[in-house]
Order: sequence, then C-alpha cells, then structure tokens
Amino acid sequence: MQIGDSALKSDSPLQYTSVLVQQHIPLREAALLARYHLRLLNWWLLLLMALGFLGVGGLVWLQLHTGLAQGMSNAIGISRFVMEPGAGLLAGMLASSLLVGDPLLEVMMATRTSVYGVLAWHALLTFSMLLLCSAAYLAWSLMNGISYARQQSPLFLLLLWLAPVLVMGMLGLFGALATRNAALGLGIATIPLAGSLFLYEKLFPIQATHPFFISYTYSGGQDTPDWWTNRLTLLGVALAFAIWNWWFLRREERLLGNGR
Amino acid sequence: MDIVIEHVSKRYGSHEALRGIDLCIEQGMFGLLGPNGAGKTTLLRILATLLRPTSGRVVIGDCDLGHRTQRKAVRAHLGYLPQELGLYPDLTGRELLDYMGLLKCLYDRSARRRQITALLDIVSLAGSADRHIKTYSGGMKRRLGIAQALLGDPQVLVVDEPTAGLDPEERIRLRTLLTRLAENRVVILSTHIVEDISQTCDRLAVLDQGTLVFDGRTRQLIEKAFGHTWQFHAAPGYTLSEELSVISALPQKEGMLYHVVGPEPYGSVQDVQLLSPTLEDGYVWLRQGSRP
Repeated sequence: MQIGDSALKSDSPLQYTSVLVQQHIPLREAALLARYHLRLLNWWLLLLMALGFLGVGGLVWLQLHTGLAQGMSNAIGISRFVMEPGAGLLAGMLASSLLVGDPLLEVMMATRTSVYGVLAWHALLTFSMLLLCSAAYLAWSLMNGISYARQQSPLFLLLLWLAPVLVMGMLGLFGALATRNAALGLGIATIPLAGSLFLYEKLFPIQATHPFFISYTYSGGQDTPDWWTNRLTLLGVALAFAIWNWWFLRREERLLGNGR
Repeated sequence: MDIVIEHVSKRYGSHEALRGIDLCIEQGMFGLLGPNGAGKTTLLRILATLLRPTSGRVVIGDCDLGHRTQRKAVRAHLGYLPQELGLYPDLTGRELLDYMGLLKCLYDRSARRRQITALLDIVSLAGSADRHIKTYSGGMKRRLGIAQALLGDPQVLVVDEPTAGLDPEERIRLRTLLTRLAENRVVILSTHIVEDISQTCDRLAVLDQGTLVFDGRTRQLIEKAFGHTWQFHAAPGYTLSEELSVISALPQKEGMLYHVVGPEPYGSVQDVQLLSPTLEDGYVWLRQGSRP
C-alpha cells in the first residue's frame, strides 16, 4: 500500500473517522498550538524572569531617586549587568529546559512535527518573552538617562544583549542535550559566565582573552576598540554551538535512553 | 500494509542490542515476546522511526525507513505508545489529545475534535476527559496513551509493554481494545507477559539477547512443548533436576504439586502426568533450548 499524505477513508470497526493530514498550519491552529506550548513550557521560569526584570527595575529606580552621589553610577552598573550577563544567564536557563525533560519527548519524536518543530516553537516563544522583557527594560532605562556606552548606537545596544543571549542560550541547549539533563545544561552554561565575572581581574591583563569575555560591557570594556571584536567572537562561538546542536538533533536517538 | 525487516542489527557502543533480525509483519495483531533486555524496545523504536538500525533495512508499506523523507511520511500513519509514557499532569485528557493532534498535523479543528471525542469513547475515558491528567489512575493513563497513539487513524500501531503495572481488570480491558483495533491495521504488541500475547496474538516473534529465536504462529510455539510439559506431586524437600523449568509450584497437604517443562521427571515423584502445553510452556521450552 502506498503511503501518502492524503486522508485515508477509515473502515474502522471502532467507528471513528480519519482526519486529513495537512502540510501548512492555519493561523488559528498555530495560535492554539502556541497557547499549548506556552502552558507546557516552564511557566514559572518565565514568571521568574518577568519578576526579575521588575525587581531590578525597582532597584534601579530607588538608586536613581535616593539622591545619593553614587545613585546614577550604581544604576548604570546594575543595568549593564541586567542587559548583558543577566540576560545571558536567563537565556542559558531557559534554553537548557527547552526540550530535555519533556515527559512526552519519545512520543513527540514519532510525530510529523518531530523534535525540530517542537524545539522551534519552544525557542520562539521563550526568546520572544525574553526579548519583550529586555526591550521594555532597555527602553525604560534609556528614558531614565542610563547610558550603556559613550556612543550607543542601536547596533551597539542590540549586540550588547544579543551576543551573551545567543552564546549562553546555545551553550545551555548544548549542555542539556549532551547530558540529557536541564540542570546540568544550565550548570555547563554558567561556567564561562562565572569565569568571565569572577576571574576578570586575573584574565583582563591577557589581551587574547578579551574576545571571549561574556560580560565585557559590564566589566568596563564598552568603550574599548576591541568591544566589537568581542561581540563578533561571541556570535561566532554561538554559531559553532548552534551547528553542534543542529548536528546532535539530526540523530534524534541520542535524546533517548538506552532502553533495550 | 506489510512491514518488512531485513537483517536489522543495532549496536550501542560495544553492546549489540539486535543481531540480524528478519521479520515480515502483516495486518493484524503481532506479538513481540522476550525477557527484559532482549531487544524488544530497540526493535519497536526502530519501527517507530526513533532509532536507525546500525545495519539492515526496514520497509513499512512502500517506505524505506533509511530515508529521512520516507521516515517522515511513515510518521503520518504511525501510532506509538512507549514503555514509559510521561504525560502533562496539568492538562486534561481532552487537551492532551488536542495538542497531540496538532503535533500530528491534524489541523482541521472540527474533524480533529470529533475524532478526539470518538477516541475518548473508545478508550472509555469520555466521562473523565475534562479532568486533569494528574487525577487519572495508571490504567486511565495507559488508555489515554492508546488514544493519543490512535489519533490520525494510523495504519501501524506500535505499543510497548502497555499492560505493565495494570490491575487484572484494566489489563483485560486494554487487551480487548488492542484486539479490536487490530481488525484493520497492524498492531505490534511488545511484552514480557506471555498471557498478554496468548490472549491477543495469532503471530509472534521471540527475541532473546538481541537474536530472533522464534517467528511463527502462536500454536506453533505451543506445539514445541508437546511431550515436555509435566505435572507431578513431590514430597517436601524434593530437589528438582536442573533440566526442569518450574512453571508453577502449588503447596499441597503433603508436599507440592509441580507444573514443569523439560524431560520426564524421575526420582521420588508421584502421579506424573503429561499436560497439554500452554503458550507459557512453549515459551519456557524455547528459552530452555536457547540457554547456552
């Protein structure tokens, strides 16, 4: 019997009619699927993220309105942290739990949507939420006179956020896929960030390490000539991990346990 | 639709989970039997397009699973219930089926929801369809798993240990359902519970340590144990010969009543009777023969 994409007329003794399998998803069904995915994603992580941005916003507002001499300087420091290593950390956390640990993983792998489709939906929804929160915070902070660099073009502001988000996101996914454990994935993703933050003073004198600092802006490198090199290098690293993740997912069976 | 499996092997590192399996599966109920670790789940995952064989070929209908595009085409006509089925506790049964329907690209909402209602009825979950899954019993979850596998009216249904952990009533219910579903599709049932196969399948294959040790009709496996199935009484303290495999040992007033498979028992035994074998006897006899 030829297998095609046409609807098959059911002569089931159980009396239920078959449904046409379609290639393209209508908008109404896409909205419904997005709603299901949002319910099934780790909603508490998304809530935590939104609350985190709100909390930091409150802290910055206090710094700006307490009238202390250091207020503006502290507010700038906090905002740079939020938009760079903070957003990166959130991206790593969210990416590590995009797919691994899904209780229906084995069943969804056997559907036409496959893990690629589910991962794409989860990634799209999660990073849209992160983008929304980050953009709102950025706009609010700029309106309150916070500067991220002496010359902050839209491209500068985009790369300030995008480079750590992509690196940490891809690294979080890489760690989760490689270990089949979301928590370990996040752990792996935080190692270079922690190194960048805590070993800054030891590593900064070594020029060769500059392109790899995830928190380069927060650490004060925003006005140096190698800031752009740093961003492009981080994007390159993110691309390398993206290719690895894509290669890994091509052999979906790596996601399964060794049930025999 | 026929399924043809040719010389299929699968390795996990140095472990060979399947060794040169050849099978042809036709419409109806097909049983896959074997002890834990025999390779049943690996073979089912290959049939469900989740694993790729290290060598060999699997063809479902006209589609060779070695090709990515053909694997995807097969998925439109495949229902799969894995051994360990996780579900989303905060969705209702109906919502889970709706979500799975969307993942199976069933985008006609009214037709999909009609089918979901019919399926919930078939698996006897219509009354609890709008309850959260976290309130379901183990049997209800397995039936919901069957319902999700049946979405899209698949021509091939692959179920791995569906009765594990179920009470006797639920097991009978599920077996009956699978038998009815096999009337117009291929249903592949994997289990290590011989009774599940004997009650549902006309054809079966037995795997042991990744090797196919039997492929044929259920009665052919039963016939293998003709003349090798015994019942006898023995006094307390009687030591069984190592050649005998005990199917049951029932305590009696004086001693034990044994049901065994193997050569004729000898020694201090009484009332030795040759029994008509069951599928379980045939399976045990086969396993005895395949022991190193």
